[in-house]
Amino acid sequence: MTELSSLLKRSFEGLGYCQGDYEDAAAAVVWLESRGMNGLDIIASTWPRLKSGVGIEVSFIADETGAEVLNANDSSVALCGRMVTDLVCAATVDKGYARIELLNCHGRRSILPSLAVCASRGLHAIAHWNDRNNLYLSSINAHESTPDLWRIPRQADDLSPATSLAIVCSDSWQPIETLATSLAGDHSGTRMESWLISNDMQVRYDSTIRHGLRIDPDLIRRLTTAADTVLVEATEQSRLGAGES
Amino acid sequence: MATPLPTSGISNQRGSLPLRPADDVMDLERLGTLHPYRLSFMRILMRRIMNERWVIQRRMFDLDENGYGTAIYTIDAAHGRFSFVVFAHHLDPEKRSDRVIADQWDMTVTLCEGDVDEEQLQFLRQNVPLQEAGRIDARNIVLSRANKSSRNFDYVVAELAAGRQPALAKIAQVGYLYRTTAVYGSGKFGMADWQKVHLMHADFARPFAAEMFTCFMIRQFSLEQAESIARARSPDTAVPMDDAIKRYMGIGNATGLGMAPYLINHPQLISRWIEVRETALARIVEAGEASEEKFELLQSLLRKAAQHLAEIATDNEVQNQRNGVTKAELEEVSRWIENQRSINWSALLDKALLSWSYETQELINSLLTEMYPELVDELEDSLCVSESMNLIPDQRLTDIRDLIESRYGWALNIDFDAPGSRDVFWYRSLEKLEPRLGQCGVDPGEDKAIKIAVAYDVRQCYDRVCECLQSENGVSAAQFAIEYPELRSILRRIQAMSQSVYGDIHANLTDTEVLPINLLRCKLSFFGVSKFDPKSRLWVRNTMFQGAPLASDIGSDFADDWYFPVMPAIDQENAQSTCR
Repeated sequence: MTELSSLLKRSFEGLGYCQGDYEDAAAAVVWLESRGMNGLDIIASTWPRLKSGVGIEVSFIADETGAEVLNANDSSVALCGRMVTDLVCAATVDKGYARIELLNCHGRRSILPSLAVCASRGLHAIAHWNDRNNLYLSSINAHESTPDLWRIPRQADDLSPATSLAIVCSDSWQPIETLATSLAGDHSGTRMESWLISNDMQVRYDSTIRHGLRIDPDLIRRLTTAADTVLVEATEQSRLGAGES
Repeated sequence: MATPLPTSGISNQRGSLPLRPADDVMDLERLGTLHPYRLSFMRILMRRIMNERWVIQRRMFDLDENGYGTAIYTIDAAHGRFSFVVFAHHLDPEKRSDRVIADQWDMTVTLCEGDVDEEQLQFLRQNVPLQEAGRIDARNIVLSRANKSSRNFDYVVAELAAGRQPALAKIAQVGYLYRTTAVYGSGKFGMADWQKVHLMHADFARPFAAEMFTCFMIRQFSLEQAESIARARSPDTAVPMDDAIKRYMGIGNATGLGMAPYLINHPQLISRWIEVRETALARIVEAGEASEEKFELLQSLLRKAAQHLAEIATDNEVQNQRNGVTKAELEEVSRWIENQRSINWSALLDKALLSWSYETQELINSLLTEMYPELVDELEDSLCVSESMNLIPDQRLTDIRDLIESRYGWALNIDFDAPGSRDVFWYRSLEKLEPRLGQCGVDPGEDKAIKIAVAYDVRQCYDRVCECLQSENGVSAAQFAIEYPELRSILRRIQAMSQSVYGDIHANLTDTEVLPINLLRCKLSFFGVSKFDPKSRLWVRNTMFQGAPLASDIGSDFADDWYFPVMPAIDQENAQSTCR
């Protein structure tokens, strides 16, 4: 994991992202990958977009309802999820409850590690997003280390765009639970279809600790190519910059 | 108003002890004078090995007459079994290099969990000799390599083969047969991550314990290999090396810039190591009884340390001069103590601060820790820290400004417009990612500089915070971080380090006068190395485990007094006949 984290940092640095961004992205991907949540798949599937983006720009959008809405401008949540979550947490400390909607983002599963950070701050949190067929819900209680992740068939009247992500944070569990029930709709009376619960993730994490990770060589090559761009060509002169000749 | 002294955050039954101030302790020049002390990692490791009576056995020693081949040692530690695997190779002398960029070595090794079967041995044989170019797996904890000391190895083998013990005076010049040039752990090249070692291998669940143990085993093998070659060369006359001489043989080490970024990238851990050291000192000042017996002990330790310094052989003029000054000052310390009717340790430290060099001050501190194991040793359980740099998202900019002013005054005091203050950059070379120093405007790669300029980044953050505060007061850290993403990393570092006792190292690493060697010495002192032999301002040779027990000493009485090793007092003539 340490090695993967270093490689990812250098790769994102090589792609032009700033220090805070590449630190966040590496942490998010390693967190997911080590828990069986395919963090590297997220990177692989969005690699062309990641490569073309130089830096990320999250901007505020005015919203009539008073809720905070941000435009991620086609950024990966692996890169911007942490800073947005920090914003939700700050607002929650002030008001007890806060919600932020992030538009035009991808790689939304990458929000899970940021939810764990919310919990480490003593806050309860939930994030939800959808694709064409399903709604995804991830929630975590304060002070727990790993969120649950649920997948629910999308309701017919759900018109929310498939490129947005909502994050809600609260200093009490009750509003989070109410929101989860409401989002689950018809499924709320029965047990929601769980995709991966925190225990599963913990088991996979333990296995990663013991045995390490296997990574697609092709992705390693792509990451390494990007990472190598932060390295400096060696010359006789440069060798003097490290010790004996 | 004076800044209050930091207090130890390490839980203990003595309450919060006042510690030396960060402005003194974290100054890079002072950190560059630290000496090993009672809680240095090698010391802790040796105590565990000896007290827990680890069993180290040779399982395979398949070497030819030149000492080339494979060896496996089995280690039964208190909580588990490990294997130390050695591949000893032929190496042309002209290819022998201390540089990390070398690609062949005399010896390549790995420390593995459990036993190694034939299949795994084949896998290791294909990969360990390649070092960075190979690939191993999570069963491996450490990967390392070492080269023979060209001065010593052949001489020692020849003497042993001829039935003679090597001359101590010659050994004292170098003090080892092999020199390690890199010791890798913590998940590199597919190896077990620190999390695994920490969770699953209690024997090595302390900082760098597995790495230090690997060096100990390299030393062990180096001695056995030399004896084996001597025996093969001259079966009729060869003698084993005298145990006292063996103990005086350490394992050499060459450390370069590769170690420096670690100290900057792990500030919470470094702060904790310093806090532990300072807590030990504070405990002694507060509760260490300064009896007549303790004075006598200190006097003998001062003499030993002075002799140790006198026996250091280095071509480095600055280090030689420092050693000479320190040795002379230790004699002053001794005289000063002698002339006191009654003193306490606080008075000694005050006197040291006023009268003697940093080297001497820190050496006195190290010696004091040796005198009170009952106050110091339990602190070895506090050396680990969970590292995380989390933003405190709701903190207001006014508080952040105040925080920077109170914790980073040293950085704000640096004039970054002054000539030379931003003339150096650090970068990673395409050659094995080796960190190197470049001159701004001269060397290529400035645009790829490693993010290591903490002081400058703090200044940037502070200026921006002050600018924002001119227009708005209620902004939170999270809002600031979205507005200025390029400052997010330094902002969370400032916040996270404000929760540590000692914070960041006080240094401008982009100054043309920067001495990276001070960073190296700081870290090496925590490892427990001795005999610092700087080869430039960028790299240093040193000696590890000199004076330490041998594997064959495990089970015998252990005095734990092998620090500041000095030449053993043995009758060499007598030793010759005894060994035969």
